[in-house]
Amino acid sequence: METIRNYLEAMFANMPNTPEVIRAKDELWQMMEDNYEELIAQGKTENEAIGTVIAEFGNINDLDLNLGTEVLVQDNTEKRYIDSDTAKHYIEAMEKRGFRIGIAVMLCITCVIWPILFNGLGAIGMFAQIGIAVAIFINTAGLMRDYTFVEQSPCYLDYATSNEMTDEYRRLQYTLNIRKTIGVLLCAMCWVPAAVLDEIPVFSTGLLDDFSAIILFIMVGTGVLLLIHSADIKRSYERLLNVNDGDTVSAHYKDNVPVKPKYINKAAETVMEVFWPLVTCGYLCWSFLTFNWGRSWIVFPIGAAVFMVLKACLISKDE
Amino acid sequence: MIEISSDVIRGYNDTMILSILMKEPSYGYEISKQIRQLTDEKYIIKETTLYSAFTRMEKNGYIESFIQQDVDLKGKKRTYYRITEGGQNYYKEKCEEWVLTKEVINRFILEGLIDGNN
Repeated sequence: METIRNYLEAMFANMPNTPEVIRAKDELWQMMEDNYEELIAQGKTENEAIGTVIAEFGNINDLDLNLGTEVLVQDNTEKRYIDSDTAKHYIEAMEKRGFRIGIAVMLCITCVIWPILFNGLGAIGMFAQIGIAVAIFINTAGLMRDYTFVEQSPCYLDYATSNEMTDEYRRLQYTLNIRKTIGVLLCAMCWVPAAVLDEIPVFSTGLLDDFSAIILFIMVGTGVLLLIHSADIKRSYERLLNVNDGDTVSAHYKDNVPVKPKYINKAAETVMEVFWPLVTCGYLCWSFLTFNWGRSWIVFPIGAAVFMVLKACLISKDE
Repeated sequence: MIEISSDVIRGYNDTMILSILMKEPSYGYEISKQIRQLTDEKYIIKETTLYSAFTRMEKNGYIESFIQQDVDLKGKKRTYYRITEGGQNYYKEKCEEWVLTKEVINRFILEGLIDGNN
């Protein structure tokens, strides 16, 4: 049955998203389903039944003429088809990219550990580490070269792949949320060990004082790595699941995909998209410049409140 | 074995569908099944052909569609079609047209050739 459904969905993938086309697809599906069930009831094997149903389907162009959708044949050639393997490779590449960039950013953040530990001599270690980070950045840039088309040109996914990706994405939700939460917690709470250790007399002097600073940088670095990695995985699935645009029937596969909220205009959309990165950036800048960790975390609750208000004001009410 | 060319049969798909709907309202698969049975499997109508005939005849007002739930266990919802008065008139015209067509074409069919050369 799945094979027949895939066949039908593939036939309609690039048809316009109009009530007539949706109706045609539903009706043809009814007929195919009835036909299949009857063949199975007659004792045919599944393969025989599928073969007969597909053979009796006819020519999709018979419908085109009556629905006046010949124009769409052109559209067909412009859209690039993403098969199941390509989709998987794209997600793997994005995951790798997220991990590498996360590591590189982490190296940049933690490089200050060297001067803390070894003073002047530590500068060598610091620059070496930055060097490695830059090498990773450059190396990673080429990673996505084969997949720029997914982000830039019109593509489409078939029904089976779209379903597969939706399931996988749903399964991953939990892991991704956990990673994101741990990442935010590590960044927001990084001052806690330092504050606690400060209260213990042994740790408040000399080398052991440095120790608390090192923990702080490692926590921020790890937190940022987790955030970047999970954000890239999330982005890869969302990009893939949204390639089927609303003009074609294939858009209906993504009924269950979490769609980005719609905002009133492009500017509002941009503001909302950069909001959290900006807040995090502000938090880190304020904290590192003033070392006032005990107070700077207040940025997050305030940020959350502002975000709610902005969202309520800017969200589009058309839906 | 010789098959009916789709060009020739095209003008008569409507006649076949309407004749089935003359008896009682019916739905897609049931109609295609009846066509197959009545022709001893000599003609199997393609699903896309059938559906485009439905939409065309509905637009012309020869048939009407309605949704009905099956009475069996599954209770599947199906689109049924019923013939309208306009459709009945059209069906009669098509039948008369066919009688005429058959008579005309028959005058050009040389009886002797059919069994002899095939």
